[in-house]
Amino acid sequence: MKRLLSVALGVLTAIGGFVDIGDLVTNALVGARFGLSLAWVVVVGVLGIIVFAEMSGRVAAITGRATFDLVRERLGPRAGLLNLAGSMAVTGLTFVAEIGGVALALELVSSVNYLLLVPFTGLAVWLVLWRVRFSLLENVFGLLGLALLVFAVAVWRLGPDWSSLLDQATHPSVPGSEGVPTYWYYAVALFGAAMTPYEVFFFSSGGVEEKWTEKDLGTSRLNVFVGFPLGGLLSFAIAISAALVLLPAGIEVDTLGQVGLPVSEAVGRVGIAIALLGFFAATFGAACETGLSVGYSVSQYFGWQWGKYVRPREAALFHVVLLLSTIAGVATLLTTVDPIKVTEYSVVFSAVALPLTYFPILVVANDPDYMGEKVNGRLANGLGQVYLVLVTLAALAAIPLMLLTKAGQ
Amino acid sequence: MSRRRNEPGGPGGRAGATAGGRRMDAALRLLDHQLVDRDGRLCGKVDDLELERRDDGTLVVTAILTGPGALGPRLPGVLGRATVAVWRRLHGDAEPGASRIPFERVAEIDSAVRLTMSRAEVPTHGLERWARENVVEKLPGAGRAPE
Amino acid sequence: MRLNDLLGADVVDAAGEPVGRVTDVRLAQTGPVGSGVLARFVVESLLVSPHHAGSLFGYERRHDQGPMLLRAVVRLMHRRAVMVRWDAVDEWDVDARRITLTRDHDRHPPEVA
Repeated sequence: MKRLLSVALGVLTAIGGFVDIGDLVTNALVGARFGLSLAWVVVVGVLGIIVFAEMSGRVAAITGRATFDLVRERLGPRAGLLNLAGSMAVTGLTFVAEIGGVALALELVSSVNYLLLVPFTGLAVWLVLWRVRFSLLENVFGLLGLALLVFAVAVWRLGPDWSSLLDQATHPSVPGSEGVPTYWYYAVALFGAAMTPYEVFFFSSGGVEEKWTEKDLGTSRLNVFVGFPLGGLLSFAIAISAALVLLPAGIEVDTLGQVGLPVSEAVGRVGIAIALLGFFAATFGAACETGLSVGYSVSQYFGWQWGKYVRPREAALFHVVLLLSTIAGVATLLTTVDPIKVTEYSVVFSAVALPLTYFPILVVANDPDYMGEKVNGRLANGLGQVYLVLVTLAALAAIPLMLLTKAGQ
Repeated sequence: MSRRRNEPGGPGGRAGATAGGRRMDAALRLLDHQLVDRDGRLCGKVDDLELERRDDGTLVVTAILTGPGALGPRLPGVLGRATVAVWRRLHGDAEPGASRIPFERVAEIDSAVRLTMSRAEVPTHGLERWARENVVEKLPGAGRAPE
Repeated sequence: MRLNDLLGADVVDAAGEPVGRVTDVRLAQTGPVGSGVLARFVVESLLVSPHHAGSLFGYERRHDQGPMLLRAVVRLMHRRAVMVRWDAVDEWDVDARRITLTRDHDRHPPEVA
């Protein structure tokens, strides 16, 4: 029974923890402008993260090493450093976006200007990273994140024409009001939002934090195969609700409040309160994860002791990196840059960084000297190679599309 | 091939056959790999290896080199030279070289390189110690296990 | 001297013709094994390849390592890689990063360690 509960907890945490500020904003934004014509990208993106999260979780369970740890081994110090710089930049940008997201969510609750809330948020995030046990952090914010199920409730209450929705999703076409390059720009953004690099760093480092062994492979896979698709459904719900409410009204998403508008329409004040709880949990949890990911990647490149599984004094450089990143994140937000805009850029740059991230995982997951018999099977390799091509294409297309469409105007 | 699990940040498969007559490709299996001390703590990477030529012409691996003095020369151009220059300044000596771990202190090589020494004895530990004493220990709760 | 001085060094034959660059160094464990301590490692052979990238992936040495696409690409890039024993080295100019092989050295195809 206890085992069943712990497995259920893991899956629920994976569902609730799946969505971050990038998913919230990008799905709502795309739903409001493109309806369901980009739904297929969410499917492709979620499948992609499932493939690579399973691989990196398996590598962590079998070798006890996290992904970024192995990047330098596999690519050498020069390419590894380039990878580190790129990942840090993107993850750092995402970290800024998540802290901003927390502040925006709190602003919606308290009506205090979000800028005043930013330093407080930064302090809170740092305190959690400093003192709270890893599993507690994951479980609390993961479970609270399930509040976002209110979007699924909203969709149901809006009583849409399901067959028409299905038709729209399976026969994608560029809406008349949008250009083709813009369509593809948002396809790349949505793809980057679903497959953000920090997720695999975090997932594999988390596996090491939680001391996974071969016995935990089953649980890890369950989290990935059940938790992630259901989490992906949450992303879908956000997009559908935006398509049903915002699109006909011609409302474009540029604030967090607008993301929640469909819920307030369909479920009322109780709904919006639950949605705000969900926003807070998703962004705060993701802020902790991205902050940790910056610490993980730097420490794992240089070989420093990292992790929350040891006392802070045993991983001093790791915690210095966490502290400095949080300060830098807060400072960036205090320049009054719009967190929503930062989010939009972070998902596109995530797409650019994807090949660097996934290539080493694919190589290591195939190495029999590390993995023994648990090397990639044909399915994992087949999908892995297909996705390697896909992420490379997305990475190459991202910047040109961004310039061409002036970041999706 | 036996699979071993001691503690995180460590274990993994065995690269190569049993000891004695064992062969290993240095860049593939040693270089840039994680160093783990005798208590399982992570203490840097194998940034380079020190080689010595014996009279009979054989080239022996005498030490593991770690830290900016060892990594610097492997980074390209300006970055590499800058790393070495900064390391020299921090160290004070005229020619500090790299931090050296004699190869006899290596206990085992699997996916990581395990040492017989504690990480406090690893020369580059200085940076970690500095961070601990000057930043981390100044904050409350540094020595307590996370709750 | 460091391993880094060997890696990437140009390898030429006795006539001065380029053979490639050192992409890896095979070490052999020799000497008695103490308890809890590894015996010493010596340089046994050099892996020399006309290209440098991709050498860390080990694909040129294992015939079965997936995924297929990467293996095919790396093996294509390293199709002329060879191994030479350390005693086939006549001269090693550390500063110039150049290794000269003896007149009658042997070259082997790369094989698994």
